[in-house]
Amino acid sequence: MQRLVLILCMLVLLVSTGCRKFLDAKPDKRLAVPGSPADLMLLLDNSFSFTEASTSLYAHVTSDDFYWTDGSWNGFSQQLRDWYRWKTRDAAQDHGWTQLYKLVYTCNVVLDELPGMSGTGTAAERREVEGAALFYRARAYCDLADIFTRPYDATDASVTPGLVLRADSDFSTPSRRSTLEETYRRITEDLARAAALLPESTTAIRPGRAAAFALLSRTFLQMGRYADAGRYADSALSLRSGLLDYNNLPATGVLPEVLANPELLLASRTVNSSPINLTHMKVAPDLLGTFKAGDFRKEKLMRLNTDGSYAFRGSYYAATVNSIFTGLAVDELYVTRAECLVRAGEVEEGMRTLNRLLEKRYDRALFVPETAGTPDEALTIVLAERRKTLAFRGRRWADLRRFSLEPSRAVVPERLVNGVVFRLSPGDETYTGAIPAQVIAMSGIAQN
Amino acid sequence: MRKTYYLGLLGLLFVLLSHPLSAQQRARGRVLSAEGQPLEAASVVAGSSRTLSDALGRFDLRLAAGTDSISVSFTGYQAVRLRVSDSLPLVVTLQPLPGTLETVEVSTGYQQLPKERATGSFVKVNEALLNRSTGPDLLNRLKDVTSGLLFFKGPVQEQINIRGQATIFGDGYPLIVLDNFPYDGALSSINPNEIESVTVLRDAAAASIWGARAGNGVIVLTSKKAALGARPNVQFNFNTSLQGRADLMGMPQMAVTDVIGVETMLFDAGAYDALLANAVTRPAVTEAVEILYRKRTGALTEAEAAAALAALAARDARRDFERYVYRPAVHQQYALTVNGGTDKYRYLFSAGADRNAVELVGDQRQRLNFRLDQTVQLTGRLRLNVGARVVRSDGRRRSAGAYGAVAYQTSGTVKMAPYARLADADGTPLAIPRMYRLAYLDTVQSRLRDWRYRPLADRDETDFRERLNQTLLHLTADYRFSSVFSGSVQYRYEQEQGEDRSYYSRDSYFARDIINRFTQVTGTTVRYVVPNAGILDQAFSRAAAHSARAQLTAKAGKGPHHFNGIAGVELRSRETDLSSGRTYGFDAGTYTSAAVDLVDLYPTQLSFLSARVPNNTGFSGTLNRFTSVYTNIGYDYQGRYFLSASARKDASNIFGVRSNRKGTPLWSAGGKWLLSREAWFPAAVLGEWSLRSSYGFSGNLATSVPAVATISYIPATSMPYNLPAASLGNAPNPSLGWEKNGMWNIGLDLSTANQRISGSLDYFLRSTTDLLGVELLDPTTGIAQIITNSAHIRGRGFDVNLRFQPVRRKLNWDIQFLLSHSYSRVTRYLGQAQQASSYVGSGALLPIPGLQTSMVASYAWGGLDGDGDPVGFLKGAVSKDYSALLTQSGVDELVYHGPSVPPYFGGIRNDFRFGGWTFSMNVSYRMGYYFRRSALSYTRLFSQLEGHPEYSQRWQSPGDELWTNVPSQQYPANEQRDRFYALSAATVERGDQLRLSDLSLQYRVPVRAGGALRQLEVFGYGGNLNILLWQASRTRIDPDFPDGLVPRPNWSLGVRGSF
Repeated sequence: MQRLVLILCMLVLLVSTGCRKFLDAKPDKRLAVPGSPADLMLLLDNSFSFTEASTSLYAHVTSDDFYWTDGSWNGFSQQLRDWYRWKTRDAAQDHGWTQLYKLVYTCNVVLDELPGMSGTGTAAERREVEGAALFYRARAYCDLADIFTRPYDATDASVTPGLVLRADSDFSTPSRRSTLEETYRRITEDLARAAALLPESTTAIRPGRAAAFALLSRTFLQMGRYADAGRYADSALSLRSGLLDYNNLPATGVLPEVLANPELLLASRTVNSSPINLTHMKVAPDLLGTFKAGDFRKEKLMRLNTDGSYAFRGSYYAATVNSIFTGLAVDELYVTRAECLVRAGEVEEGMRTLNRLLEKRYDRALFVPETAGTPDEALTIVLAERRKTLAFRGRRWADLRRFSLEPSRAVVPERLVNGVVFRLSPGDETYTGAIPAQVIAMSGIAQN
Repeated sequence: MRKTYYLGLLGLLFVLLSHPLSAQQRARGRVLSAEGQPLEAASVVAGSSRTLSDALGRFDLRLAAGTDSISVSFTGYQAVRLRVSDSLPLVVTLQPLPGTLETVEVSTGYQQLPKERATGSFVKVNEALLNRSTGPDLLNRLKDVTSGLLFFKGPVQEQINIRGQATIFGDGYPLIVLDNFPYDGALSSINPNEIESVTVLRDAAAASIWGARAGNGVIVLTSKKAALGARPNVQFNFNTSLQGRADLMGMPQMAVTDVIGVETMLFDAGAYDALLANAVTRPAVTEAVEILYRKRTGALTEAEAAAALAALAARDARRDFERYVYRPAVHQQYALTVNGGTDKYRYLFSAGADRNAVELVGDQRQRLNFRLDQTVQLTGRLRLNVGARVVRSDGRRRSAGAYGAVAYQTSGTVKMAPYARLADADGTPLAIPRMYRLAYLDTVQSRLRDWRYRPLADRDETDFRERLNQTLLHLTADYRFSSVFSGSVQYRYEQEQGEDRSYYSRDSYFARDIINRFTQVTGTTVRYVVPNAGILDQAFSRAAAHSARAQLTAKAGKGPHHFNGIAGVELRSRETDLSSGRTYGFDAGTYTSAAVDLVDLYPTQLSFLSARVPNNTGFSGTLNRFTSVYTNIGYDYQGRYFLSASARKDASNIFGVRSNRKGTPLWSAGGKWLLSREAWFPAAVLGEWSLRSSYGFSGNLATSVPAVATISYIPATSMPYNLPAASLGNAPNPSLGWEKNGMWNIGLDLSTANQRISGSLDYFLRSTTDLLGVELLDPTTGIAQIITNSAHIRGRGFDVNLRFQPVRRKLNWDIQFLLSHSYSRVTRYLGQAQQASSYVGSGALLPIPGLQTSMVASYAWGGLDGDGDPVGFLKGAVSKDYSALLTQSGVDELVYHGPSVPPYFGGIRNDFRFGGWTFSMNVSYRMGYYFRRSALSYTRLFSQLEGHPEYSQRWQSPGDELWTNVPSQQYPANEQRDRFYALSAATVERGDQLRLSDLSLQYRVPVRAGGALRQLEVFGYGGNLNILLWQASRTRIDPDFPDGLVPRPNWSLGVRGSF
């Protein structure tokens, strides 16, 4: 009897203590607790969350680069239809909030986990992981700001509502809106830190220092701080300035592979959606009319449809039809630098910068360098070239927002849908998208 | 009946005990069942003295002076009275009461308990009841005949609930225990003919022994055991079922002319212009659109086009499907069992074969089962039981799928046109539009391989096979240390090997499509990047599980006190591995393959993009481990008062919250009082009555919620640049605790003296604390939802299981009445306030504070207005602002219909026996619940050609709003308007129903007593009758088959018996 009790006790002891090892085995062979900076880097390498078919279509569909026929528009989802006519105040729609804050969360998990890994991986690895997480978080905030905040105006940014800035991955922290000033400060500070941490040489599928500088330049441009924007465009160009010569592109306009395109700093593209493939999406006539003869940006990257309209097929992301490129590339740096120089009155240097880009975009035989007399004339030229260079690149919406604060440059785009004209005037509240009703209801933050 | 009363008396068989006689006369002996199994706790009464038989069926009773006879009784058996004439021990063999469904022993998976002594609420389904229906699936045979077990067609899939829905987490599927160990293998591998009985554990005293896994209830399956008998007993069961061809034409569907009308409207509005102008990918369009296009280009005249459209309107794809794709299903089942043996050695061997030619031409399933079970009494103290179970299932699919399957779709999301044709008048397979425009494919023949898709021809070119080999080995050693203690060690090894093999021949559409896409044409030279041959996809899965248990059993009795207890430890480990891959250039005739370049990009046809040849390699694996410690103790006094208690603690390797690792002990306690054993109880009139009650807990753990951030590796082959990546696992929630399901149960078991009325009544109260549930979070956190302890719920319910025999003469009429009720309400909500829109749907998964669980909630419906627009209510005012209705409706503005899971359910079964004939009929019912029917969505109609039968009832002109709720057609479609209508109170129906579910007829062929043939029965069964005798909803929608395709009944004929 005693012996039996003893055996039983031993068995119980064995199961409850001795089997700790038995219970330490991983339940899923693909699942792990991240144990090293390399594991965290894998999260940021997940191109399906950060770059590949992932960024929002909002900034493209709201742009005036293209138009849809009524027949096409009538068949699309309500969200695309609404974006197209700048109906951005419907809180029943999620204009990208959930998707973008998911990226913020992933970056925050990485930033929260990294300090606990000081003993693993090399210092360089840890720096790259931290830099990439800061970079991607800043980029998500940039994209969010373009959709959900009023265009940045330095005069009232400190009282304008900004984004919710999530400092860590703890979901129990309540959401609170920062000011627009704080939002942009967070973005620029994070990017400056990322630029210091990120390695100089990377491929286009991981952010490097040049990409961080380029995004900084883009952000300052958005804030209207042209001197800073120009400075960071210079910094980026000092690292990467190679351009593709469109003279060497095949007539079909297919660009080189992502990894072989010297202009790409960071490849990324929007979600796949057939409404923006070349079946439906037609180049806006006013954009089309600005191309001169010999401009390969039209002749090679666009394609004449049977009905006389043009389709865009020259995505910087070679292997895509149902999405557009939204990443960072060197050509954007040239037009940004040119604009900043011209705005600072350095017309000659500005035009020189612009022509360095344009000579690679035009048929060599037909290229005539651009010249300008006054800074205003120069700015008009630079902005026109900016539009042609960055057409179908997801940048037009941000530019429209920026110009809406500058009366002399303001554009009033129009849409014609089923016989009704929609206009987007400067200062229009539809420049600021509504935050999803679900977010308002659950977090209590103020609606735009 | 009176005759059989005396038949119970049976002779002496062997001498077991040989104690010297005391001065006073004693009655000693053994109580055995007709199968020779000892009956524990049979009541033996002699005048004023009484006792119970022990585990081996033994009894020893001192007889009062002047008493010379004893009566032996046992629930479910005919009582026997016999004279004690001399000192020889008696062997009392009890015959089961005819038609008795509840036999004696119930199994918890850890021990066998005599039901009479069990304090818990058990439902036992015996072999006879399992055999009442036919079919390859075991669980289906429990449907509508098991008290408290609800089979319910939920919005997504069929659910099985014990006592309603206690938990909302996960699938809520009960734990299945097969021969003492949890069974995680495929349920379809279990042959019902191998199962002797099924026990459903309903309350805490019954289920708590399974601890953390018992949260959704437990179903214990017990295989047939080797039986005593020098002469081998051979049992057989052969039957064939036939199910009529599916009635597609009986399924309501949007009229073909209406579909063509909508396509014409869309065509005129330019909706197809972009597709038709696309000269790159050449997207597919339907025949009607092609006709309209040709009319526009002038290729067809107005009259020709009208005639062509009229010809389309006369077609119906369902006719082709009925004719060429469907067939009557035939299921054949053969089962054979041989058993026998002596005290020292017993054996059982069984074999079964199932062959199922399913309803689609070209598809079939087969299953072979073998089982061997042997018990050897090695020494007086040591007994070994060794067994093996081998199952092989084979499935083969050659058809492209049922009506509506993806394979027939025009393109990615666009449905097949309802006028599509599969074959011409001679039965020659025809091409249907798929992916690419047929008119264009006709022009590429010279350069590429034929790119058209003919579903019927493809049947000869594709071959999908799935094979599953399953092996279960078990070993049990029982050792009796003393008369009090015994111990047992059990081990089970389980192995499953699966192979999925999809072969696409060179001429299959799948192979031709990939080959064509990658064909490189330069001038007149054609180069195949993908070899111009077949493609073979293979996936191999392997699962291996070890289960081991050491258990100590104690049984002791002194005077009126009896004690029994078990305690043990258990380890389980289950590992799975899966790998898949694709072979290009495979030729099934020569068994050769070819290499292919999966790395480089190649220009592709019908696209101007370059792409890689699709790779189909993948690996995955899991490893689950559990350890448990458990005990169960029982005590009884005078065979009248019973007490029981159980406790268990589990731990696992799941990356779970800390509480998964350390485990929480879960316990239960119960008591029972055999009223009829009291001297004051008028047993002669009222028969046997007992009262029982129990209280205790079972748990539910969140297996998928980690305590820390986890990542899931993504193989490089799934990523665009062939580089590895990872994604975040489920959001960690370190504070998550276990869900605890507390249940109090009180039950009455009764059986009148004349046995005319018997049954049980159970009432229970349930309280679930820290209910595991999904909580939606502020999306700004980056986490859409987490698993939290979201609410406390309280519930109550009852189970009535009554049997009544109004007629017991030559004709025997037996009525079995089952009624179960379960109700639960959210008493406290722990999470963040949720939006109204999160509750609206077909049964809220989120707990709604203060309301019943799984509530069907809707937006209030204000009918249609004079324009045919749906109207709702917002802040008390009528509104047509659908965006605001969807997002700003308050929780208090919703309409709460009732639960989506039936709170009342059961069945009424009538059995009539006359001579050797038995006729049985079962009617099932489900009451008090609601379901949301599908609704017409103009968004899906216009973009995916997804029609809905209610299209014909749409609002078309003012005044229609008086009789219809279907909104007017609006182009372009308004998603929010469609959504509001679909989720409004207008689309909710009452589910209450009364259904004739099956009929069975059996004839027992008279056999000569003592002859070679022991038993022979011929039977017929009609299952799946699906005859709605009554339904609450005025629409003619069958709540179980809301899409309208009601399966045809299946009719079986068979023979079973033994020799």
